[in-house]
Amino acid sequence: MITNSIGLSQYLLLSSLIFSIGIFGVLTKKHIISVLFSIELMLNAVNINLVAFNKFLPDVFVAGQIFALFIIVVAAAEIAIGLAISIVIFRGKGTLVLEDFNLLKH
Amino acid sequence: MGDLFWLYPLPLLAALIIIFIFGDQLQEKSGLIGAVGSGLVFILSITLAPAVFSGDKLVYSFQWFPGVNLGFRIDGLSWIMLIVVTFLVSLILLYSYSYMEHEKGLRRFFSFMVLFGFSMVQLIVADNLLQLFIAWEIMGLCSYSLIGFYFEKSSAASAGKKAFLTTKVGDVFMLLGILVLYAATGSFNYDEIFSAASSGLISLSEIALATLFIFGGVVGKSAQFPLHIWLPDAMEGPTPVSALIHAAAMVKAGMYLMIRLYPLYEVSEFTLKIIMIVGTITVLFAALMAIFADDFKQVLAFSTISQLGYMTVALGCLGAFPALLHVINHAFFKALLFLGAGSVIHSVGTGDIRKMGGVFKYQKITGSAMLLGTLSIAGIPGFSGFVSKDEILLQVYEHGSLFSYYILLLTGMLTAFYMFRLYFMVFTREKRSDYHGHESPVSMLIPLVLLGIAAVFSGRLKNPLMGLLNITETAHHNNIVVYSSVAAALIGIVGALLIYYLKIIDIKNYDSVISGPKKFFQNRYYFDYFVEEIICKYFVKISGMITMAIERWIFDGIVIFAAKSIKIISNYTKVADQYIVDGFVNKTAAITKTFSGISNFIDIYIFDGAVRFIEIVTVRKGEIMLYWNNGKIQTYLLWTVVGIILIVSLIGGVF
Repeated sequence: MITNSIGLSQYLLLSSLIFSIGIFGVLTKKHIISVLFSIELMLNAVNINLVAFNKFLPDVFVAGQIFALFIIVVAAAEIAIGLAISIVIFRGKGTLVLEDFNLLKH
Repeated sequence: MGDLFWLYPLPLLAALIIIFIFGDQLQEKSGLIGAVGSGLVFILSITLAPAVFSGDKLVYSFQWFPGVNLGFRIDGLSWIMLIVVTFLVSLILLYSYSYMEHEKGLRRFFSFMVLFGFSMVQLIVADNLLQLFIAWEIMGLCSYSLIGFYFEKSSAASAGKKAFLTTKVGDVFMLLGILVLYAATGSFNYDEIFSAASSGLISLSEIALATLFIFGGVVGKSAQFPLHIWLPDAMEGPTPVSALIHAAAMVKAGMYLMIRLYPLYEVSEFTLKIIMIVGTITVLFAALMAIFADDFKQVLAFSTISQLGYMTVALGCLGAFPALLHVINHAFFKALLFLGAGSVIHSVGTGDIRKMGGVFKYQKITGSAMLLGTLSIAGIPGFSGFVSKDEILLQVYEHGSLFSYYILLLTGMLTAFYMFRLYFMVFTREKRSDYHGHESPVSMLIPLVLLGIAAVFSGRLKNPLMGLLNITETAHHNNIVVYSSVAAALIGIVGALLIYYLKIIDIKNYDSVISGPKKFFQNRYYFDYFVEEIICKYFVKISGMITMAIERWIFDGIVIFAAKSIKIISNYTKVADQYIVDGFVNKTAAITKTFSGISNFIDIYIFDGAVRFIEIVTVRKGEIMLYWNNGKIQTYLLWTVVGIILIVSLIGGVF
């Protein structure tokens, strides 16, 4: 019963919800680590989208899942670089609060 | 198998690569790898014995670039050198395995040691002068790096530099010599040069010039007077390095080159005379310094110079074979002496022989091996040094000048004296300082024992070697020569015995007589001082003066001449200027002035006004934008998101 009631639109709704939470986090969180978490959320929302489309659209075989895998890899790389940059920034400035970073102004 | 003989040095290269890559992990074990590599080359070379003894000459060459071949050649001479060198390199590396145990920078050390051995092998198997020269220079580099191994010590660093630069002086001559030969024959190949020489393609004067120049290189590399100054300082390196330089590589490379090119030297009487003079000076010169030296390794260094002088004298009077024999014997006993010195210094902790004494009690094996080496270098019958030294003396007696012969005899006495002085001071009598003697580890003793055996028996190689090199006759046997050389050696030994062992003669009583010459010899005849303070200084001064002169008279002259001529020309043009050009210019100026008044008005009110307007607008805009540009990434992102939403909405048709 329950499985029948979940269609493509539910998945999309879920993913857009997560994506929005992600964007909200990116825009409002003060700490770099939290922002990185939020970016992860956004990427995973996209993953859900891809897998859902793969399941519900005809004639796509596993393309969506493969793309999801790619995104997982990219996310891992991105988080590694993100953390590395955070460490370097922390060494330089002694803080990871985004408010304090306004070098782009100059 | 035989065709691949030119690949036989490869194990050494492989060892070099392994040490270079894994040296930091292997640490002192690199020494074992190098020893195995060199040992493999030794064994592979031995397999060539049947071919070499049957009189074959193995040659393999291929084109390097048009006109120049890369070639490898093994004949009797290079074969025996190859055997001796790889054997010694292998033992010395085995020895360094324990000797260098707790040192830093072992990867560098062993890489250069093996490279040293490898380039010596390449030098030996090269079949042309160019290839030999390359290997020769690589050895120069290795010696620089190894002598300066303890580069934190400034004396070691400058000793390395001194070795490099001094030998480089010789190398320039050598390159000139090689180029003279190339210019005359169009080839670097030994055989082609020899055949060109024997067919009279090169004139005698060209041969004399080339051989003299190449001898210059040998003087540098083999530490002959006056370029010997680097060798005593080379003691700053670790002892295995000294052993390698003195016994297997470097100084022997020079002798090998002379013997290799002997067909050229043979025909040039003038060069031979020079060689003999240089050799004779070196022999005595170095032996006198050795008597007064107080550093273990320094005594050995001076003795090397002196012994190399023996070889040079032999080469100066048609004695290539005695010289070769002495090269081989000297290689064995000098390696033995150096490794023994290292073994003693390792346990006593200083190289100063005045602080030693009584070492034999602690180091019986080292002491016995050293005794064999000392007897051998002193020229006692039954030991190898006697055989070759005797050959040299006979050769000089027969073909050389009597003066040289007497000098050699005298030096024989001095050699026995200073070697036994060294031996008695180090190994016998009472301790002269507080040290804890102990015998060295096994891997240091194995090379010592093997070399001790070699130092006794390598003289037996004489007859096989004569067969190998197709030499049918040597100098005639002459009892007077033999007896006098033995007597000279015995006098030296007895003298050392009386002064340093039995102490019947107390040298302190003769202080007033000795102290003058002692100071003179300990300062190495002030020769280093002379070179550094006078030659170098004046060389710099004179070259500065020459540069100045060139600048002042030639360059400045040109400039002044140019300036003067321009001045004259300008005087003429001045007249033309005043009347023709100036008049024209004045008229033009008046017209231009009028026009510029008009354009000035337009400028101020129209163009400037527009510019000011733009400026005001820009500044205002900037002020407004500055508010948004707060440098915070999240603000930028917010606007990005807002923008995306707007665009998507537009596309989606919301508005």
